[in-house]
Amino acid sequence: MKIITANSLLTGAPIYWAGTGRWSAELSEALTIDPADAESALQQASAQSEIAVNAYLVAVEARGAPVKREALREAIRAHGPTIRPDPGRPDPGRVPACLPDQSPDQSPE
Amino acid sequence: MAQPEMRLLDRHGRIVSGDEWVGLADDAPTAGHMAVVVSLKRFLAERDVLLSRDFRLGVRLDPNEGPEALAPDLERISAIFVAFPVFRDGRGFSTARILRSRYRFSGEIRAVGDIARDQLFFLLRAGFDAFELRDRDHEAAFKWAQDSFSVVYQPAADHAAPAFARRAHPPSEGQF
Amino acid sequence: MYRYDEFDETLVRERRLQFADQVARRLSGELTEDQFKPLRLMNGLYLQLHAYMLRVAIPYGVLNSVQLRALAGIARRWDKDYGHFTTRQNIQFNWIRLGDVPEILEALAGVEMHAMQTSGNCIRNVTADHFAGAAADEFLDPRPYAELIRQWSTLHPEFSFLPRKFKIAVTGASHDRAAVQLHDIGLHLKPGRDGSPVFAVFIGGGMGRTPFVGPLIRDELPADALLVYLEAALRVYNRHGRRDNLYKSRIKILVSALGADRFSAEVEAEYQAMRTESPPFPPEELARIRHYFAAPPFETLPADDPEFQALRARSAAFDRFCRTNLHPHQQPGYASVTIALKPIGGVPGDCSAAEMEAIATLAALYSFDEIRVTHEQNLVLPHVREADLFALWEALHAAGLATPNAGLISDIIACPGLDYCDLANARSIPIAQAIAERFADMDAALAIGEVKIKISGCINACGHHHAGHIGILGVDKQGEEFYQIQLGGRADEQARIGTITGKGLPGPEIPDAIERVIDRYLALRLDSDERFIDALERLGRTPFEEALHHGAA
Repeated sequence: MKIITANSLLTGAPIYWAGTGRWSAELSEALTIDPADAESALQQASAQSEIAVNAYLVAVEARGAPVKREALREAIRAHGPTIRPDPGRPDPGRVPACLPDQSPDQSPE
Repeated sequence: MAQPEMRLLDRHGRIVSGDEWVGLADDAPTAGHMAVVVSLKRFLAERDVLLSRDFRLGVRLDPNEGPEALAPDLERISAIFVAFPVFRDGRGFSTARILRSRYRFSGEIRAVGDIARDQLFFLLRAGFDAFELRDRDHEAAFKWAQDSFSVVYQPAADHAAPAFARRAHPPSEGQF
Repeated sequence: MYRYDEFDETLVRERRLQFADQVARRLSGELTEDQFKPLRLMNGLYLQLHAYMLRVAIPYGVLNSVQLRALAGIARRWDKDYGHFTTRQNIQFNWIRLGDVPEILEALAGVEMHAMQTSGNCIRNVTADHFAGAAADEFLDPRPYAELIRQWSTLHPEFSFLPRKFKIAVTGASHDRAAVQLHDIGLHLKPGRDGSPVFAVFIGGGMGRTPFVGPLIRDELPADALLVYLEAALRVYNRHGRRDNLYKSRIKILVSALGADRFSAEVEAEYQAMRTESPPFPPEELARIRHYFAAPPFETLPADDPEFQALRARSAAFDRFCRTNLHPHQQPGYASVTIALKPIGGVPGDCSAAEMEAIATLAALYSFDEIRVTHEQNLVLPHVREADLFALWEALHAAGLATPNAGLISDIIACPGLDYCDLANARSIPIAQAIAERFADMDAALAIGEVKIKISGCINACGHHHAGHIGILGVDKQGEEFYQIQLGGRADEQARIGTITGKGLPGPEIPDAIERVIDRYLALRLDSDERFIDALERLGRTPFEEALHHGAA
């Protein structure tokens, strides 16, 4: 399955195609698209150039989480930098850290 | 020879109507034209014949072609058409500056190709005096480029007095 | 330092208006993203993973306290209360909204700053020795020449659409702190045979995908001919540099393809021709600029302030700081102080608004209002009286800015990496943090001595990994981060590209691997005066490579 993501023209923040002309700031609201329909959906989404910049497709597993090569990059886009508490994005712990003592499995929160 | 969607502007941003220049393919006959533009390759191959005719002669330089080969004949060449096939290719700026400052070329240097308002400021400074502009609103584009900066730091072919000259002396003829 | 006059001020204002117009045209839909992108890049505005990033130029790394306060103000008002100092002596703001940029540029212009040419295929912000005008080993202050280059390169009529970006660095000291041989053009100002200033000109150095140490292209260039020579070199590059392949378009590829001798001959021919074509640059302008860089009103002081020595003897912590974070000054009784932006566990180069404000206050109090940014992502107060050092240190300590690790193993360069950067393949900052935490014991770190670790999150090498004594490059292997380690690079006057060792390691193994290399060094060094890089060069990399890859239990 695929989702479509882009950056907001105004803020630069990651946004996700929620279908029917709507973009969401939340990865969880991204519309999962059948690969066969992905290209036409991307075209439709890209047409909203006054809202979204650099729209592209991301491969996701059935539950909507990015897979493989894109997983880490997309996780960081969705949840913010892994390295400092970020007031705008309260949940950095969800991102897989590369060091064992920072990994979400072992951190109490 | 400006493309239909292009507008030819002079150094003051005025539209030039009735462009007299005709671009010739390397195998096209020259007869019947008042002013022809040929490739550098054709110029080098047919130099003597081309220079002896009574039309005005222009030579087109692609980005990888410098003006050096034309140096001995520049007095008899009326215009150099400098090609910018893509916006980001800035080799033509060097071509124009060498023509103006090294060879003191006083004919027309025309920028042709992918020319938009954002290069104009630099083109004017480098010594171009004719532009085939792709902006639809070419007059506004030209004015925008011309009015953007009243201060420059470098001496260049447009003879604008650089900041250092205006600092040292009150703005006068500013021969820099 | 340099102050804008009406001309500099007007140009920056006009550029700001021009960019504001471009932003408005984008927001109104008049410009497409494809048309807008090159325009925003020409003004240092990138679109990164989380937001727009604005890179602000700090010419040759020189700031005054008003400017640093203004940067803090921008961080507070338009960003998330912090900024990131880069390896090019600039500052980046990570959380910028497009519509705010015109206002930010206005705030910058108010303190004689801008973001011009901090990106794009043009001549970028010129960098310089961060101890310029202060260092004891300096022959001549390079800043007047750097300012001359800044002006000359701004909106250059011929060189604004180069094949690729172009970076110039300049130093006037015998020890190279500006990595000049790793720049497109590196300039070393030195005395000529008759004592008048000349430049050694290195061209074609650089890091990135294909790293080179720049060869010496012209020695003993008379200093007053600098701009003509630069113009000649740039023209040869603009005309002949490759434009067909992004990865081969830097000048280093041209120099390497032609060979240094032929390249040098081409530039020399162009230079000789140009000298007869244009009026020489008026020496009065250099004199005018130099005037701004006159030494501050130093007091005449004894070389070793007795009170300062007494305080060092009394406070071990202060003494500890002085051992690593002071640099000898050319004026007796003064020192340059490095404020390491490398607290253990912190983000290399990050500085909060409150920290910037604290540093601005201290610069005004103790350093003639001057601050420098180093390419190693630290700040410097260049001119501090020895008698003031203790008070300064106490204030820094109170602000959490007195980490005594300048030049030590935890003084790590790291690019923003995949935590921020759209180009990165792997994260850099967490690796830097983990290594710094491993070597958090400052006494142990002092015993290890100078080790330069440099980390990049992709092959573009913003983190200078090629020039690290230990260089670390993050790579992506099927969605997992691996880190390739290089040994033996250096960025000083004996510049060298590090050698890649073995296979990449996963992130969690890096601190152990580095520690094994350091343990091997401690076991093999002749004495504590033999630095890591010296031992590496004496012994070759084999024993260290072994420790790196085979030392694991």
